[in-house]
Amino acid sequence: MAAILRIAFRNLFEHRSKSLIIGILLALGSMILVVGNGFIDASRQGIRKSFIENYTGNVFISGISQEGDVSLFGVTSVGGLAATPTIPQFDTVMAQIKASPQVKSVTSLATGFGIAMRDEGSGSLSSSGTESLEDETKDGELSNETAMARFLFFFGIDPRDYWTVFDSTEISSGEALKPGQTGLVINESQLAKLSDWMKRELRVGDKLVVQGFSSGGMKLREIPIVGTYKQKGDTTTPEQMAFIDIDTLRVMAGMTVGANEDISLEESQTAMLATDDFDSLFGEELFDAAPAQGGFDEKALQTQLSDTRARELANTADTGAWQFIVVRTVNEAAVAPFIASLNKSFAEQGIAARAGDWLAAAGPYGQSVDVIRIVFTVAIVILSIVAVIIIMNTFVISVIERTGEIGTMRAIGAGRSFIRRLFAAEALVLAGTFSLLGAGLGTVVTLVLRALRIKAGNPFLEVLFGGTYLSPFVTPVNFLSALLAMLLVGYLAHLYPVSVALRIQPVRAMQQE
Amino acid sequence: MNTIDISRRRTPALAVAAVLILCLGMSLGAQGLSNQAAEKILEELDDLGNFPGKDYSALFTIVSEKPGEKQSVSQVRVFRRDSRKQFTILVMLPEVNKGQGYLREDDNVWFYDPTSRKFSHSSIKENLQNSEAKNADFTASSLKDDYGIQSIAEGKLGQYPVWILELKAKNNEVPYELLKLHIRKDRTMLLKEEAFSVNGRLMRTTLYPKYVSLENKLLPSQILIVDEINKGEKSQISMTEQNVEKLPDKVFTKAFLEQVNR
Repeated sequence: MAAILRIAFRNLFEHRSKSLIIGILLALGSMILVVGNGFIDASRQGIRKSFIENYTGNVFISGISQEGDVSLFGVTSVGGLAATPTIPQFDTVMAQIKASPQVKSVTSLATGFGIAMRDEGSGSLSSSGTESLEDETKDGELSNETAMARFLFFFGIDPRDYWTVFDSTEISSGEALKPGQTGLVINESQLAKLSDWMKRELRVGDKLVVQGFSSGGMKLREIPIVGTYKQKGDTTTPEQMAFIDIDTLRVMAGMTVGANEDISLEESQTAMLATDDFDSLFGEELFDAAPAQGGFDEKALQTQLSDTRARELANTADTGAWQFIVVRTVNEAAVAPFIASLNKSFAEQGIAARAGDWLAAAGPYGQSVDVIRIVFTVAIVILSIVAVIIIMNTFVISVIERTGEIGTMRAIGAGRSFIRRLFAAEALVLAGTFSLLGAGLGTVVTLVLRALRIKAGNPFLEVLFGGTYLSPFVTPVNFLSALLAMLLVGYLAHLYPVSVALRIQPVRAMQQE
Repeated sequence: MNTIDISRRRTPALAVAAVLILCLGMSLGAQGLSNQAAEKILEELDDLGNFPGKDYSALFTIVSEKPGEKQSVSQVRVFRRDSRKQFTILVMLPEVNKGQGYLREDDNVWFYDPTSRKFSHSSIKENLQNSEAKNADFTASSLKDDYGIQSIAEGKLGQYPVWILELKAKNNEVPYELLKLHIRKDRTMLLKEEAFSVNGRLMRTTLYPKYVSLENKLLPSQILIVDEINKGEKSQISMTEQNVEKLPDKVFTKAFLEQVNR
């Protein structure tokens, strides 16, 4: 073996220009792997940290929906407007969680979406309409920037314990929500953008008209801004995140005591819904009797709408209703067994609730990290195939040049296996040396990039970076896997050229010398 | 069922075009309905659904069904003045949304919530009260102006022989790119409408099995809307108290929505 290695080193040195070309390719591949994985790991860890510290905790408990997975963003369903279920037997579930020694802190939550509106008042249609449409494009669509400035992702919180679980934000003006207080705490940057859109300065104490939308329909509410917040440190959250008192959110999200009102209907008003054979609907007389014509009766209409007791009751928040419980655990290693024990207990008690980790809570957003990783992996695989082809090609040229040498070696008694081992040794020595250099260089590049603290600057890059700043890092696993991958590439690339060389008869090979 | 693609007339090669046009002409003759006659039918349908110089009011009861869910019921009172592209919709049921209103003038739609007594600007294409119906379903439309005829065929729907017209949108103002209309032959009545997306996917089927006759107008009194994307989701709309008498101007103002809720 020592002799083979000695010859391999000598050969590599003898053919140094080709060795260098192949080596540079291998080093580049190794460097790309180290730096790329450094990016992905930083992104994944950043998003994980951001979610756990800002929204989901380590353990996330929700109700179960037949229409799809439940996450912090609602139910992932086809239509997109399925109602987010509330946690059944909330008090029992909460008591069970609080009793666990794994729990460091816990709070309950509900989320919803809304759009900030201008106060349209009761003025004439034309003037108000012009105002409303002035920031719309020609197609009647809102520009992206305007839409994002107005969009609000509501966190209906329990102020008694929310801030003990999530302390990554701080109040920058006004005050935090107090128990029982009606109001809104919004991001200070979002408040500035909303002020620009409103063309008037919005301050703490002002009221904001918000249109909430849920499976229960639309609601318009005027909500006082009690405070603004900003992020502590480098962590990043979307500006659209706004804290709201839970009862206002419950009303806007349809979590009200009258959410399931019974309405009696005539048979004819539902008869067609039971039909799957549409042709059968056209088998009889197509005409109903003409209705009696009468004048417009505003009084009758007023009378019908004047009794608002049922509406008031139906718009009363269901005070016990929560969509989620989020938990910060004492020990991260105990998260998985804790989730398993909770799910087992829910199943035994027949409670339609589910516990999951931060990734389950992040839903479609968390999956985006995996998508980035898959895209990167596919790119690396394509790059590897290209590298193998280029390296193989260079090896083939190198081997053809050495046909005479190979013939001579075989003529003086070197067997096929010796030649194979010799070329394998050359390939592995080359791959090992240069991939180590590449991985080392990749580590330096990663450290330099981290030290530069490049700022993301926009939300998309913040997701890619996993935070406000680019902070890639190299783990021993990533370093070693880059080395192994390039060793494999080098080894695979030499197989074909060697098989070509061994096909040539020693006598003919020597004649080429 | 025989389908003839009229759009083939645009084939650039003159000879092929001539032969095609000849063949198409013969085929259309055999079907008994020319392109012009089909356009006339669309015009009649437009005329039946619109009320120029008059207003329209009715009580719509919308019952929606989704798999695994309880039926949801909405009842809305609809007021229309097509001559000025206006409508007012007042929610009567469910109680939780009672008194909410939508008001349209031209391209603007306002939403009113009586609980907060606030107005907001909303879109014409928005779904109404979580049903399969859209705001645009309550406005005057023009099939003739918005769509071009692509093909004409014959068929039967239940007991009734029908013309089947395939229409393609002429502009992007309409909610659906392609429509397939089933129109009763012996009396111009739209019985079934299938709406397709740009890539030809069936999105929504609407059936009109019941009508009332009012001042020489035929008005649907029962409609079934089937969501073809989300299987099992459908809505039945029953229209009662239909009226085509003139409405006071104030019905189409914000003040009206506030007044009736006092």
